[in-house]
Formats: sequence, C-alpha cells, structure tokens
Amino acid sequence: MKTLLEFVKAGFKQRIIYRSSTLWGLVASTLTLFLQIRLWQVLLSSAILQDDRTLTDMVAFLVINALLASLTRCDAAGTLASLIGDGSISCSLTRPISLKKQVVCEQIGVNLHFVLFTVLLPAAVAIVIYGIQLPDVSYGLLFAFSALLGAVILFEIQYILGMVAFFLTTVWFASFYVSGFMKLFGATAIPLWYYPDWLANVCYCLPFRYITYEPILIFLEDAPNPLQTIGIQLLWIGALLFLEQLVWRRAERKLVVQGG
Amino acid sequence: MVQIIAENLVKEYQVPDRDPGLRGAVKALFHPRYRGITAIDHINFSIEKGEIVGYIGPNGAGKSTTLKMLSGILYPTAGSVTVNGLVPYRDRKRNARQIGVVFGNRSQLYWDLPVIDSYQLNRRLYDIPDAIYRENLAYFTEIFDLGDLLNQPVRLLSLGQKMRATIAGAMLHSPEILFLDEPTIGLDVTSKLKIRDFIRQINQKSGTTVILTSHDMGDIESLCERIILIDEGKKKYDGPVLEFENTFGGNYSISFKAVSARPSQFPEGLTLREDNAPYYVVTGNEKQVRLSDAISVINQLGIEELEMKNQTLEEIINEYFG
Repeated sequence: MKTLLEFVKAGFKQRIIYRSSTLWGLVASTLTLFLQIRLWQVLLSSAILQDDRTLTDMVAFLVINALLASLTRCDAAGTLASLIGDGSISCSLTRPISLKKQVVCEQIGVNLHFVLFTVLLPAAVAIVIYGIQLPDVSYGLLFAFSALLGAVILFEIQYILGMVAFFLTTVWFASFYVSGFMKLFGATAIPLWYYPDWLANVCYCLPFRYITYEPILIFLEDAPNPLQTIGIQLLWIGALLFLEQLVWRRAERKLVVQGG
Repeated sequence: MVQIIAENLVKEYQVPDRDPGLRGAVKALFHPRYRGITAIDHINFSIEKGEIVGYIGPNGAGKSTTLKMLSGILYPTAGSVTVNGLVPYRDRKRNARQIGVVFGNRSQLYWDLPVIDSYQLNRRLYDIPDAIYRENLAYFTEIFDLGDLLNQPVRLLSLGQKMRATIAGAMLHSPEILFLDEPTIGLDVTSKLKIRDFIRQINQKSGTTVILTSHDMGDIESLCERIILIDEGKKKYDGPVLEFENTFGGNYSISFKAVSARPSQFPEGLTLREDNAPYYVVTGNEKQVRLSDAISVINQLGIEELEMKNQTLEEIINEYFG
C-alpha cells in the first residue's frame, strides 16, 4: 500500500511543481463551469426545453459532473501510448510492480491535484451561490462508492484501448473516441433525461453512462434503484477486467521497445 | 555458480516495410507490408556469479534486446533464459527485485521531481530496510558526488549527473545482478571514469554480477575480463578479452627515425612505410613477427627515436567487423 501511495504522491508532485499551469487550469475550469451554468440558465428559461427540472438541478448536475470528471479523469491510453511510443516502457517494466498499478496510481495523484487546485474552488462557489443540497449520509455513501466504480470503469476502458498500442505502437485516436463516447453515451455534456428514448436505450447497453451520469443521479437522490446501479457497475467492471486480461496476455508478447 | 543462462535464445520482430516519402506513407496505409527481423539468432551463454561481462557488437547487433529479455521486458520468440533460477519474462516482478537495470538512453528517475523523490519511491518499491537504504544512499552519494544533486529536479541535471544518479537509483536495493546498457554514452572522460570506478568497486565489494554493453572499448578493457561479441543477432565470440586480442588482433606499428641510410633487409611479415624519410613506420603482427624481434631488427639500423603502438581492442573490433 505504501508503494502505491508513493506512485500517487509522484503523480501529484509532478503536477504541483508547475504553478502557472495550476493557475491557468483554475481560470479555465472556472470559466467552463460558469459558462455552462449560464448556457443552461438561458435554455431553461426559454421555451426550448419543456421540463420540470430547475436550474438548481442542472447546476448540481454540472458541478458534480465537473468534480467527478476531474476525479475520474484518466488518460491511461495516452500514457501507455507515450510509454510505448518512445520506448520508456522498458523503464516501467523493470520495476517490481505491475504496469497497471503504476499507471493508475500516478493518475490518481494527477487527478487529486486537478480536483484540489483546479475544480474544487469554482465547484464550492457554485454550490454556495446556487444553494445545492447535499444528499443524506446513506445516499452520500452510495454516491461515493458508485463514483469510485465509475472511475474504475473509465480506467479499464482507457487501459484496454491503451494496450492496443502494443500492437499498433500508437493510439492517438483512443482519447478522441473515449472523449466522444463519454459525451454522447455517457451524457456528460447533456443529461440523459433530455435524450430521445432510442438513444437513451442505446446508452443503457454501454458502460459509459455508469462512469459519471449514474453516480450523479444517486447524488441528486434521483436514481430509482441505486443498488441496482452499483450492481450493473460491478458487472461492467468484471467484464472489462476479463477483457483486459485477454488483451494483456497477447499484448505483453507483442511488445517492441522503440528506439533500442 | 552459474547465475545467468541463455539457451538457443531467439527474438524475432515484424517491422513495417515502407517506401520512402509521402507516397510511400500513403501506400503503406492501404497496403501495409511487413518483414521479419531476427534480432537475436540462437544465442547461448552462461555467466558466473561475480563476473563482469562485456556484451559488445555494432549498432543493431541485438545487445539491448538481449538485456531486455534478461530483464523480463521482452518475451523471447524461442529458447530459454534464466536469471538466478527465475525465468524473467514469466516472473518479471520477482526478477526485477534481484536485478538493477540501467538503459543509457533513458532514465528511471522522474523527470520533474528531485532525485531523492525517485529514491524514496524505490525504497518503498523494493522494500529496502531503512538501515540498508541509508547505508547505500550514503555510499552512492559519496562515490558519485550526489550531495548537491539529490534535491534537484532530474530535468536540471547534466547528462553525466543524470547517469550517475540513475545508476545509484538502480543499485539502492543492492541487486545481485546489474545490467548496464551503454551507461557511459555521451559522457565526458571524468564521468566515464567515475562510473567505471563504481562498477569495479561494487563488483569487488558485493560480488555483483555485471553485464555491460558499451561502444566505448575503454569501458570494456578497463572492466571486463570476458566479452561476448554479437553481430546481426549471432554470437561471434565468447571468451577472455586477452584471448580475443591475441586471436584477432596483434597488429602493431613502430615509428622511428633512421640515423643513416634507408633501412632494408626486413624479415618477412614486416611492412615498411617510407613516405616521410628519415621517419619510418614499420607495421607487423605478433603472430608473424613478435614485437620484440621487430624492435631488435630496427635497433640494429641505428635509430634516434622510437615509438611503438599496439592495436587497441577498439581497432581490433573495427577491423573484425570490417
């Protein structure tokens, strides 16, 4: 455990040393959040959306989405692609720890830095300004657990895509696809309750909505059956872990270290 | 005690075969072509505990590929390899605990963090007991002059400083075996000497087995009694450096200034270069005319100055590979 914490710390420290990046990140995330809130304010007050959702609901969705998205941010595919692309994977593989643990722990450190220094402040301001209600303890705990499982699902998807780099050397397209699928099927840009039924049904068959959207519903105490959500998340994790093992067994034999 | 064994080791790759230019790149997109490369071709060797072995050959010979298979990074296509009884690619993590690995063109240290942070991570990663960590850190700090560097981010270090810090990091857990892939590449003479001293000391102090690849024959001559020479994935020579020099080398040259007339009457096997009279150069080979005999012959001519030069290992290897 202490070893894993060292990797988390390494990921965190690698980000915290760049002060101006931290500052500009804070400015960008504040602008993004408040522009999104303003956009939804306009949409909800217009006749475009006929819905009983209030602005507070939408702000809660946006704030929790921003927090979860930054906590579950994962570029395992990019990290693996870069390690394989420049050959530095040979250094990672000389350590007595699995490659996956190194990548995930460093990513947690990076995400913690991002949440603490970039997203937490504007999120807290929005919560206070718009009077967002926090869920009760039981929903709060279910939300936290579900959010954690959501992060695992995203990591697994990214990691499996990243391993494609063992076969193709590069996976520059992976983050493009994951980000697109997250927005469309994961409902991170527009809540699923505004989707047409057929598209919402498609989303039910894919893992992306279980990354941030379903945990947010639990936070809003709007999930019909939070335990069922968590059960489905666990099933997805099981399936993705199985797929990851299949890919890894083939990938590690395929490794070519670039640049000698 | 035999510590490292490679038997019929083979590593094959498939590499893209593209025509040059933009046209070639577009063509490869629709009709990709691949060709097989045999990086390692049925190599056999065994290495005893405590040996320092120079693993040498031209670029692309397969040196780094072999070290990566010994480290558990790459799977062999065929054959077997064991390191201290472990099969590296099957038991990568356990193998990683007993070896230290340094790749000269890459660093294990975190680029943005102070050197000491990477060492702290290694301390946890390898479960290094506090006393051993402190002792090793003190030893490496002294031998590599790391004192002022420990708190500096790695990106601010010079190439030589970074390499010293990297080697120290790879040795903090006191591994029994050390794989060094071009550890002196691009370094100045002082840094090279420090690294050579360190390898010698660690080998004498702890009996660490070392496999060293280097293009600097100074590294090999000063550290290794044995070399394994490979070319195009095949083993060409495996044995003592001296024997290699005697078998494939032995060329010498003697420069001298003749006092009187043009020298003549040289025994067969010696060649005279006389384009700069009265300065002459005689070249020969130990296997045909011994150096001492050649000097005796030249001494009889009446000479003023004499300088002799034996063929270096580097020259022998350059000649060997044409």
